[in-house]
Amino acid sequence: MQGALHRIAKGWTAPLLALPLVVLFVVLFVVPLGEILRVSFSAREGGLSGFDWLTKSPVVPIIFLRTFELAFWVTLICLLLGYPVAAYVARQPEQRRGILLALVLLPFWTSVLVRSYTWTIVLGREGLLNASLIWLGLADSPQRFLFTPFAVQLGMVHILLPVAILTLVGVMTELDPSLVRAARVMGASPLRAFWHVYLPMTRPGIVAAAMLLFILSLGFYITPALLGGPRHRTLANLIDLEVHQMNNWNNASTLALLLMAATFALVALLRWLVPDRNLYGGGR
Amino acid sequence: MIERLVDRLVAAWFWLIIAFLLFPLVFLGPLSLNDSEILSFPPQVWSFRWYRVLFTDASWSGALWLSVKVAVLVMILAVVIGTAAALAIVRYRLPGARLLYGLAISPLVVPGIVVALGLFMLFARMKWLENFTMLVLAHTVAAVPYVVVVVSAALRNLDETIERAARVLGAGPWRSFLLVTLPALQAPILAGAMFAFFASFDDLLITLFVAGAMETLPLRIWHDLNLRLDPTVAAASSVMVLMSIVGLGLAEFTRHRHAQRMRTENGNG
Repeated sequence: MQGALHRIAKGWTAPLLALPLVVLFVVLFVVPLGEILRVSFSAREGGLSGFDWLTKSPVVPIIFLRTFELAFWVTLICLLLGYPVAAYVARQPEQRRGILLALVLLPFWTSVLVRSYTWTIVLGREGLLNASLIWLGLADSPQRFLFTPFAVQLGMVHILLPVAILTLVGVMTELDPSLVRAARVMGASPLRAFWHVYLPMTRPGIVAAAMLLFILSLGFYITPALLGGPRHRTLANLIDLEVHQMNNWNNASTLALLLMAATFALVALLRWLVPDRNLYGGGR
Repeated sequence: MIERLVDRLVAAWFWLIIAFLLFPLVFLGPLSLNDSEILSFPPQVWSFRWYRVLFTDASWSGALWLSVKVAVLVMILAVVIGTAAALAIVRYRLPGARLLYGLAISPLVVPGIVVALGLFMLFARMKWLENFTMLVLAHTVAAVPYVVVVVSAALRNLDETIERAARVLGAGPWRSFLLVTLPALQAPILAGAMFAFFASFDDLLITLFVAGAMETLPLRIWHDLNLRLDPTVAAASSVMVLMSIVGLGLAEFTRHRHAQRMRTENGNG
C-alpha cells in the first residue's frame, strides 16, 4: 500500500519539479514569440503587411547586410585576438588557470550598458583617445571615433571577447598536450606542430565559438545604439525604431521573425557541426 | 630557443588583452570621482559629489532601489524554478528531458530584442505593461537559463551513489535531498543565483520595452545618455561594476572553498 503510494509520488515528482519552469516559459517566452509570428503575418487595416514593407523598403536590405557584415568581422576579430589568450590559459596549472580565468570573467560579468557607455567617453571628441593622440603628436586635432563602424566593432569585440576565450578554453583544456610534444619529438618544427597537430585538435572549439559569437552579434542593440549612433543602426536598432518611433508593430515583428529565423538556422547548423556538449561548457 | 620566445610573446599577448578587457572598468573609477560638471580626464578636483547625487537624488536612488528589489526577487524565483527543473532533467530522467533543457536555455540564444518585443506586444494586449510583478516574471525568464545550466552541470558530476547510500541507510527522499544533495549543490546554486541576480540587475532591453514609467538603474542611465551626459551615470556605472566584482568574488570564493572541502573529504575517505 505504502509502496504503491510511493511509486505514484515518485512518478509525479519529476513533472511537478519541471512544472513551474514550463508554465513560466510557455506564458512569457513561447507565447510572446508566437505573438511576433502572428503580428508579422497580419496586415494593418488598409496598410501593408510587414512582409510587403520588407520587400519594398530600401533601408531594410542595407541594414540587414550591415548587421551580418558587422557580426562577421566581430566574430573574426574575437577569434584571432582570443585564440592565443585561450591557448595560454589552457596550458597553465589548474590553480593558476582559475585565477587567470577570473580576470576574463570579470568583464564578462559587467553590464553591457556600462561597458558601452565607458567607450563613448573614451572615444568622444574630448575623450581619452583623442587627448592621448594629440599629446603624443599623432594628431593635430580631435579625430572622429565615436559614431563610426570602428567604434561599434571595438565595443562589440570588447563585450564578446570573453565569450570567445571562455568557449575556447573549455575545449583546449580537454586536449591531450602529449600529442603536440610527440610531434615535436618526432622532429616537427613548432610551427608545423601547431599547424598540423594543435590547430586541428581545437577546430571543434573554433567552430563552436565562431557560431556562438556570430549568433550573439546579430542581436546586439545597446552597443550599436551608443557607439554607432543613428547612422549605423543594426537590425535590433531598426526593430526598436519601428516600435517606439514609427509605432508599427507589424514591421517590427517581421524583422524580429527574420532575426529569429537566422538565429535558429545558425543554432541548427551548429548542432550539426559540433556535438552539443562543447557548447556553454555543458556536459562537464 | 624559438619556443621560449613564442611563450614570452603569448604571455605578453595575454596580459595585453586582459588590460584591454579591464581598462573600461578601471577607467570608471577616476571618471566617477571627478568633481567637474563635464567629464574630463584626469580629474582636476576629486570628490564623491556624483555618488552623493546617486544615493540622495530621488530619481537616481529610486532607480537603484527598484533594480535591487527586482533583482533579489528574480534571483530567488530563478533559483527555485531553475534548480527544480535541473533536478527533473538530470535526476529524475523526465521523458522529454532534452527538449525541456533546450527550452530552458533558449532565452540565451534568442536575441534579447526579439524576446523584449514579444513580451511588449503580449503585455500591451493583456494590460500587463508597467506592472511590477510582470516585470519580475519577465526578468525571471531571462535569468532561469543560467541557473539551469550551472546546476544541471553540477548534478551530472555529482556522485549519485552517495545519495543512494543515504537512502539505503534509511533516509527518506526528502531527508536525503536536504542532507546530501542540497549541500553538494551549494556552490553551483550560489553561482547560479549570482548570474540570475545580474541578469536582472543589468537588464536594459526587457525593461525598456515593458516597464513603462518604472525606472530601473540601467533604464535611468539609458534615459540620461539620450539626453545629456550627467556625471552621475559614471558613479552609477561604478557601483554596478563594484557589485559585479563582489558577486563574482562571492561565487568564486564559495566554489573554491567547496572544491577544496570535497578534495579533503575524498582524501580522508
